[in-house]
Amino acid sequence: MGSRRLLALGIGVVLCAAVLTSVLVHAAKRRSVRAGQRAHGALVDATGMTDLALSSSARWLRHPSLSEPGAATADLPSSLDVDPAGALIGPPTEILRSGAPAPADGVQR
Amino acid sequence: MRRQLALIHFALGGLQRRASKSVALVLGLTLVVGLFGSTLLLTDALRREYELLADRMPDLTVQRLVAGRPSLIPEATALMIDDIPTVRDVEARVWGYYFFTAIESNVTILGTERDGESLDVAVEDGRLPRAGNEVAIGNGLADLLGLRVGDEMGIPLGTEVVFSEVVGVFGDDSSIRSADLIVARPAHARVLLGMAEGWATDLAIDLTTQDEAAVVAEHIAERMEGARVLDRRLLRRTYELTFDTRGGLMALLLVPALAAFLLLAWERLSGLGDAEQREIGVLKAVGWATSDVLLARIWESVVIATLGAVSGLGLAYVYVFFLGAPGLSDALLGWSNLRPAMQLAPAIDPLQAFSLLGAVIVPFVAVSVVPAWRAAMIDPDRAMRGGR
Amino acid sequence: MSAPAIAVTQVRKRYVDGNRRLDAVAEVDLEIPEGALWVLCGPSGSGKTTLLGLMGAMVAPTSGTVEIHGQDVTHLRDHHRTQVRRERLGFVFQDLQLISGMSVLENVLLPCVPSGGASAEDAARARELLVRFGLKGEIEARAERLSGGQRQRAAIARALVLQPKILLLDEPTAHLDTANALEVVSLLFELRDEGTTVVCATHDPRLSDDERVDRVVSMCDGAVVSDPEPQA
Repeated sequence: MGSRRLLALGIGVVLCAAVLTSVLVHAAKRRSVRAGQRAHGALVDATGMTDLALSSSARWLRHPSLSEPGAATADLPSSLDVDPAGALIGPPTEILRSGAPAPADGVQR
Repeated sequence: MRRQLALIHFALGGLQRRASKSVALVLGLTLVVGLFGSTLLLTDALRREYELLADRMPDLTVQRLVAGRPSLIPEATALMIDDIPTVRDVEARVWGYYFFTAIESNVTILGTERDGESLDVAVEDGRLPRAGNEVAIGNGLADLLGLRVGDEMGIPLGTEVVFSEVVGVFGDDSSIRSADLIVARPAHARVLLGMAEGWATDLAIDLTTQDEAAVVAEHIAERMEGARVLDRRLLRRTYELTFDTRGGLMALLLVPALAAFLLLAWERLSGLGDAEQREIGVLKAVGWATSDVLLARIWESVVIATLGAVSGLGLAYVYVFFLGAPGLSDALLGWSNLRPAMQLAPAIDPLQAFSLLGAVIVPFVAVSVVPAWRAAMIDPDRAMRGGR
Repeated sequence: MSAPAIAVTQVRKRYVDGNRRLDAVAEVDLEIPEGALWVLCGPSGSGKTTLLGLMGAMVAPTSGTVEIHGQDVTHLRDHHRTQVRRERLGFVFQDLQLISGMSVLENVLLPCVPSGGASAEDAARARELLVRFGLKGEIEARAERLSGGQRQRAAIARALVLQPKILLLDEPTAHLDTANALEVVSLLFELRDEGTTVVCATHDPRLSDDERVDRVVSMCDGAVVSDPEPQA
């Protein structure tokens, strides 16, 4: 009676450990497979573009690092690729400010 | 140690006695952890995929703003910038978007002069374009249009149709970046994009040292009208914003689910029925200290939380990396027809896994401690009479 | 003369409910010698259960002192009081209070869990007690399957598993038919004869009127109203 419960606990512990280990081992394996895939690096070398093709139909999301630096939180009316993500929190101003002409004293902040 | 084992043994009995409640809590926790975990796993994997090659971004990107929005930039501008100290290389890039009516999707058209057999490995079938109207296309596009190496692809431009010869198709491997790509030589890319000779989309600048970026940016701004210079560190932050925003949105949507679950858990854990209250009274009266009673209940919560958290994590992992996160990836990534094959490499490592588990188990046990402590502190006499 | 098993001095338990003050037990003085069987009797609400709880270090008194084997347990912290309960006392409750869903044996071995679980001796002793109390066939049965009389005896077995010197029982014969009640009563006297101090709170005359009882303390409204000298 007593040992049955502790046996069940032991099985539970082993199962949990097995799940965790499988996840971590599989993840590591996939990472090493990915590391061996040279197609990625070659593509980036060939094209010079590093952005992911996450959502081509949202243009700013296709090349978020290039199109509009503040676009990650943009909410332009009549924009084709609306993602109303700027409602609660604005983007860091350095992103909005990026590339703006330097102020008169010539210091880029 | 023996004491703990004995208390755990008793706790397991308690779980057995309240089997339906225990199972409900484990299932609920599994679901909640599964939902949150999926979002986390997916965004982390995407972020990692981006990070892997983010270093190959140009140090500076120069755009030309007209009326506050990016416009085309004259190729000759590159010469203006070439001689700035610490600038190693300036490349005028030709790329842009094209809305493909046939597939109702945007594709990215990219012109490049880089080639060579070593780079052909980027393509699964065929090779990169070397001359004329050759193109290499993403497999998402190829599938949708039914194209293979050797076929001709016609792209309507105004009243004409411009034909390109497909010499390469990108594979699933690189699909996360190439699914919607059409790669051509710069001249042909310009034709497809409707861009005149002598113009480029932007300039990619490589420096000998990143530290000089700000200085170089100033020089460029002086020499070029309407210049917007994007430091690559800034661009990376934009990228992170994208993931954080989207992931955060998802998480925000899940907060009500989490709140509901915690409330339910609290209610079930603290609304000790008569039976449970009497049980605690009995334990105290037969000589159990408050700490013993408390520990037994804590062990109960630990078992439930661990089972729920681990199965939730396993569920999330299978859902994201074996099933491709149907539903979630739509919500997270948007509504494109040209979806890349989600062959992501998981970013999760032991530290992250244990942090995730800890973030679930600790609060859950903590939430259960308060009612357990209140119950354990009860005067055994009162508890015995059912708290009356 | 050795210290009495239990000594309560001027002990009071007061409950405050808004403006009303209720003394469940009001200034009681009692000294129960070792190896005696005493009965606290009185109607419902007379305070006998509360007094039993005070004697059993389950309830802390509002004033006065409680001593068990000469040790003052009045102001002990919860942790130490629990220790005293575990080492010196066995308590059997009014509502039987076996935990359903557990077997009878597991119930009897409950007191052993915090100290690391039941040892082989504990388990053997538990089985012996159950056999002695006529529950041999019910050792592995679930507690809720037992009849009232069986549960009562199982509860007594649990109270005795750690071999306490003092046994406190609250209405041990409640809900029992005559046959079962007499069985329980004779069991209590057996234990008394073996040296255990037994204190019962009851309003059952089958127990309080028994000639073998060493002393009967009558209570009413929290006070002792009659505490005749032991019958010769």
